[in-house]
Amino acid sequence: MESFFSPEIYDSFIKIIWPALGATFRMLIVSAGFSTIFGFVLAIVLIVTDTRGLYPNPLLYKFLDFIINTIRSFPFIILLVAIIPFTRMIVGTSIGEQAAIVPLTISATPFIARIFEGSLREVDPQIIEAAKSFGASESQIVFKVIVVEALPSMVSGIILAVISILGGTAMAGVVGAGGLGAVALLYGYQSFNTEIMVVTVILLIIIVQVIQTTGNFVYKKLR
Amino acid sequence: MKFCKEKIILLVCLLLMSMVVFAGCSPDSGNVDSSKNKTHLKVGTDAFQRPAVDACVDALAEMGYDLEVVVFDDNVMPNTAIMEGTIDANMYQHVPFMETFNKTKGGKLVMLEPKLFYTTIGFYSEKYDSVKALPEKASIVVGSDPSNIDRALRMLDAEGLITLVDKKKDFYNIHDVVENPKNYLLKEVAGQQVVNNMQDVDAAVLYGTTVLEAGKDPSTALFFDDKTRDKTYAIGVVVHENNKDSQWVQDLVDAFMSETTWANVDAHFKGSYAKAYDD
Repeated sequence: MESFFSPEIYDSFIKIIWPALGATFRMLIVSAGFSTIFGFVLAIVLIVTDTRGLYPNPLLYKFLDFIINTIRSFPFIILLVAIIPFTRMIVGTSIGEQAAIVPLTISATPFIARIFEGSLREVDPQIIEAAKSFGASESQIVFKVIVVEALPSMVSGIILAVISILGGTAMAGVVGAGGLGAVALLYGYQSFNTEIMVVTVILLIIIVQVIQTTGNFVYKKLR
Repeated sequence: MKFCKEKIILLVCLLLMSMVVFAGCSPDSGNVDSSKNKTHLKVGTDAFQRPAVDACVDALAEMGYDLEVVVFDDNVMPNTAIMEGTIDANMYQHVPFMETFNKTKGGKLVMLEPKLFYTTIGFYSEKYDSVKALPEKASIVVGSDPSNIDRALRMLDAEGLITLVDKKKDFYNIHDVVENPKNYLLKEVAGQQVVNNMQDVDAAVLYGTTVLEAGKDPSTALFFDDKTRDKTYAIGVVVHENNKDSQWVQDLVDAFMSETTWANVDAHFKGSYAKAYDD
């Protein structure tokens, strides 16, 4: 059994934990990046096609609403397995880090879309009215007024989603993607190695703290 | 007034939460079953082995016992449950895993003899016809939990695909491979995840039961593990050592060895399970 300051724990760190940290980061950043972009597009479409939006389209709105709710109902593990043929189409395989990024992105996108939609709706209608009275075009209202006003709230939303995606990466071990969650489970808990479990949890705590602090900082700068 | 009420509610919630947390830390409750007329047996298992445990319900009923099967989501909890006294026995693991649990968690579990069932384990590939045909950096799936990964690695070592470190270990993991001439990529993925996605890997070490349940033929393996090792990894009934001589324990093992139980097990696992005991 390894004690906390033995050479074995250092060895484990280099060989097992450090690569897992890299895998978690890559999965997190790529999934968060793509799902933020896709979620943003989805949110814009939602507020524009809403009955009170610029181009009301109840059919499209209801359809997107339904898709979002459906994807969000899937437990992540089930979604991961259910979309394997789609994952294979996109990255060529159902196993590994890239294969994990597909379900991570798909499950996070509707979540982010909902958060962004909420932020965009919350924008003070008086500001929108003021912009209209200045003769702003519709696209200017959406992108230069509503989005800009909603930006601090959207950043908070991204941080929320990123931490949720981090939780998802823990389950990516199921498809052999590695990552800190998989290491904590396989080399920590199932191998009865408390030291590895504790180290990976501490690392995860640090990551979450850093993400949240960064988010708070950016939020303040935008207000 | 409102503020006080909220404080009280908060305190009660904290109290309940800490009670739940501390309840989980109960020490070994001794777990000696002194009731002479124990007729209700709680046997723990995992989802995969469950049919094997369900199989002995008839034999137990004939002896006057009624069986409650408790299914756990992971492979450690059925053992901690025995130590905590929430179940009487379990049937899902092999001796190497049980011994590691005893050593690292201070468990006092014993496996009853004879051991009950074992399954074949083979090296499968849907892309290549022989081990020689495997290319450089071929991906080989070895499993997703420590005891199965260990078994797969020993099997690959015995067949000469890789060499494991000399040092004796309970469970080898992929970082214990010292020689890997063809630089095989050893993947830590569950067999059940891979068996229906064999096109995404070059080869995989799989249990006969997994292959069969996926509707494929278990006999198509490129090679199998040594039969003598199969028996080391046979699963059996595990109880707390204080109970090992109790009547209900002997009856439970007998029930597992009855004809009806074997008929049920074989019907479900269709030849991928074999008896580890001699009739």
